[in-house]
Amino acid sequence: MSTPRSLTKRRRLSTKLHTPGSVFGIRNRNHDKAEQENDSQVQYTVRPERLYFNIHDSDSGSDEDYNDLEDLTGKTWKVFRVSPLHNFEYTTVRMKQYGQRMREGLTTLLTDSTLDAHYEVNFSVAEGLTLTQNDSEAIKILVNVTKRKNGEDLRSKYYIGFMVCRGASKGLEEQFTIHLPVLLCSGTVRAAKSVHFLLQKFFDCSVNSYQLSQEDLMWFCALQADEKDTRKGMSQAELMFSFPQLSVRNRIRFKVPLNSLKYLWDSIHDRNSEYASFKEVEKFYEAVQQQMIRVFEVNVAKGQLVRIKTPTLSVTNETKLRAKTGSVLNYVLKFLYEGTAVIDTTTPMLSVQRH
Amino acid sequence: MNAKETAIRYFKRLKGTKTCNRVEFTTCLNELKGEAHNGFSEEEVETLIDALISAECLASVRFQGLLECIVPHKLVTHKAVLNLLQWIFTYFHTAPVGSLKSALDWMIGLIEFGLTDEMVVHAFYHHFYLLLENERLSVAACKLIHLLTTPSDVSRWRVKKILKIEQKFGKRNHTTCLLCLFKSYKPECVPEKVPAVNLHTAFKAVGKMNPFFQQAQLRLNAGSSEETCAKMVKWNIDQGLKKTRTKTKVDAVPPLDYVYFGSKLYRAKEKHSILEFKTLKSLSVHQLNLDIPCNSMSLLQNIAGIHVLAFGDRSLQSRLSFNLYYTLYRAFIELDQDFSYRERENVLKQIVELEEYMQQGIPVVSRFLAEYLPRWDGEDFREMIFHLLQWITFSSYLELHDIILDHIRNLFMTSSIEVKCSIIGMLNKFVENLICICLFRKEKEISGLFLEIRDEWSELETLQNIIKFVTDLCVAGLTVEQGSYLLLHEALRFFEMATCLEEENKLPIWTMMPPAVVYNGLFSRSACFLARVCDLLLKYDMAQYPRLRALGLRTKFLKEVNRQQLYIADFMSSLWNQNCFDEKERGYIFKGMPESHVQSFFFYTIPNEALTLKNHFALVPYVFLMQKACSALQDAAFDQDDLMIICSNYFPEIYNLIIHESE
Repeated sequence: MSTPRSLTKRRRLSTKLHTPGSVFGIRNRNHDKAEQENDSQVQYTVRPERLYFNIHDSDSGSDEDYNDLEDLTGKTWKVFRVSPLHNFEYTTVRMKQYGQRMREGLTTLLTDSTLDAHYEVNFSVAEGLTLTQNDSEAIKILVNVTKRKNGEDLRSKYYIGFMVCRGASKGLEEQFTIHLPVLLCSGTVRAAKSVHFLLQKFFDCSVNSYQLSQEDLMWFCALQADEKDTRKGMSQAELMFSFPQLSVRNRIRFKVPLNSLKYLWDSIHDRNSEYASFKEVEKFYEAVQQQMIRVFEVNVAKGQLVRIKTPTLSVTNETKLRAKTGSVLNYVLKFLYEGTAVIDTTTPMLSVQRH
Repeated sequence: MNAKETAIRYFKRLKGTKTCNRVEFTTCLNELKGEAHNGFSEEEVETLIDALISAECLASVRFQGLLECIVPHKLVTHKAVLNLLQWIFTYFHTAPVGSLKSALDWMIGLIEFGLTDEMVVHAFYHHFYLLLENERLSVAACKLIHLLTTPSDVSRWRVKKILKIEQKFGKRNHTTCLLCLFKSYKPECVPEKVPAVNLHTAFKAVGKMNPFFQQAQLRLNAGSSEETCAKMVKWNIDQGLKKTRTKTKVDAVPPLDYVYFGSKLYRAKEKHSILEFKTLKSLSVHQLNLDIPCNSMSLLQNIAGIHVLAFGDRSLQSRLSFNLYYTLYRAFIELDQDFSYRERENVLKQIVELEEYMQQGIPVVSRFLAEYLPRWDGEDFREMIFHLLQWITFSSYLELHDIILDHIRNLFMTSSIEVKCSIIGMLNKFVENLICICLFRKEKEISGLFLEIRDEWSELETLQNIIKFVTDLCVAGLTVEQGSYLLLHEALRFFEMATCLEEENKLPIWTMMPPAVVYNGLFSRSACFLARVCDLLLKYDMAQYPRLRALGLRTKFLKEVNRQQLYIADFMSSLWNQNCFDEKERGYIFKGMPESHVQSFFFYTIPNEALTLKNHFALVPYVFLMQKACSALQDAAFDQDDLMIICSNYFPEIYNLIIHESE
């Protein structure tokens, strides 16, 4: 797990612009600053909790640096978490073989309605999606299907997947094992399941769906509020909640003017600091909730935040994401990466200690 | 002679006859059909096959009818198989196609369900290619070839033959399938582009013998697990024929499979596939040359795979760690609906076996437990989770306490007495593992098998803290459950074990029983508990204290020495000296009791004598039984010395303690 870094230094660590994304540790569970009894405080937790997030990646500045993310912006992706891939080679010969194997596998797995379907699978390296020198190159998987309908061959995209690693702090020590933890894919559920099953078989990895917790969505809320809005006119943010009394499909959407969110955030956040701290985010979210209760007269505190939609970003808690601009996608990817940090398999240590 | 035997005899007589009575044939056939679910013995199968192939009067329908009934009880002998195969190849030009097809179907069924030795059928491998020429037989023949082909069988000549057949009859699914298989084994033999075809649709028309053969297979499997001479290993192989794998529940431990990229020619070393080995011994001989299957998790299925994992190299164990963690996380914490309850239980069971085999805990499993315990309801998979907790790894006591022991304590306090007992039992084993294995490894400076992990915690302090935790739990449990004997037994077992291990390993620790255990033993209605507590007290006096004094640690354990003397004083004054209330200030349990209270006991009994040997409620039942059995003792009053004689014979611990302390 990543260790807490110094908060105040702002250095360029490499030629590829990379400032520390988040600082992890254990949150202080005691809200009163007064008493600090050592014995009753929790010293250890299993997962490190995010204390700070660096939002002012502003030394990178202009939008040109995010051109490489063009392929990914503007589309809706479902996010998965992937464990390290074993025996994956980047040579062209191997990529071809992977494609071929996957094609055979898909044909065997997907039967019934697709008796006449022919699949084409293409593995390729997607340039420019890495951030630090420790990141492995991203891989793009493209599956096209050709169906015979009414005597014509219809060719359509069946599945697109990008396996991305963005923001690794150190490389994996094993040979032939690469770490591409975030998988962005688009395709039907069945397609995704089949492709992932085959990936798991070929490279001995696990592909799991990435669930965002309430806390993560809170962070996104705050980060969106932080953005400088150059748009003219009133833009709106939409927050969707699910409530325990309602059935799963019924969710309630609340439209909130983005300006008011920004106003709230600015009054809480310290502009001088590079980092947004968890306390600020918590306060901000509580304030938003209180305001919503007052205005809409619905107790949103009882519900679960399910989706945030702003003009530049739309994120749900099963992690379907859609980003409009490169800079937004940049920090979203960084955020997602941190949620998938590599486990150190050799130390017997179970947890993170408070310092 | 029952109906089945008559039927078989009839068929035997058919051999060589030209005509057969239709009615008789049908009755016998029906008789056999009725018996098919039980299967026939090996000789019966041989006879029937013999009859089948030598009777010349059998039309195709009757042939098929008879063949369908021939189901072995467990295995089919070589002779029967060979006979049938010889018949097929001798007569395949002249015999009716239906009969040939059903014969091939039968053969396919045997192989698929493992009811015969594949090697025998493989001997005819080359000849099956002859059958391909007959269009109606080609599907079945293709399937048979598909089942039997090994990588070494693939050659360009055979590929060309299949291509020729394709040219003749047109591109069919089954031939394409075969070409695909050949291509995957040796791509250099099949440079043509081969479209991928689904196996299931290709061989849809073949293989209808399933229900009876399945039963035979079950019978076979049930039998082989009883073989103890050589450990037969059964592998769950991905046969590639399971349709809609994505719709059904997912296996947490995936089936074994090999995936190769690139031709066999370019592979570095000649490695053995795991599937070649049927016994554990042969597997371990070839340990270094093994080819690891594509999913490291699939090795968790049985003991042979676990053996491979335990002695595998670092990269295999790393892979396993990652996958194990993610699978556990997905199955238990995200509660993915794809995994059924049984699958999850199976995974846990296999992990327990792995840990037991290596005698070591796996760090990712410990981390998973740390995340799972706060959410656990204490009931699901309880046995497995407790087993896993016995092997937990940690880096310091504080961490262990905050993350694991706290939750265990909560569980202990809120559960029923049986669960409390199993928790104490589990902690017992945990401490045992720590002392016997971890300390042992530290002393010898060797690391465990798995990823060569060493424990970093400070030995004695951690041990003492853990033992103190368990002692607290015992005391709390005994208080809450009011001295239940089940719990007392577990607690006593723990202290006995601790003392024994401390002695054996010469540890400078003295684990002393808390008063709750000691006095529950003294006042218990079971003489066994009394005896056990006496025994332990004696051990403290005779073994522990001298040992620690010899190590020069007397000053460190002053509190324990004090406590021990109080216990002994109480025991002696209660059991032997008959002055437990007069001397109450010297003991522990009755100290500070006001006189008025003592006076109130006189209503029931003489307090000083209430707990002596002759009056102790644990020993009185034995006296009663003795008096009942022997008339001479009927009215005798038993005094202390008499009871000492009894104790020396039946409860030597009590006897020894009293003798020792009286000096």
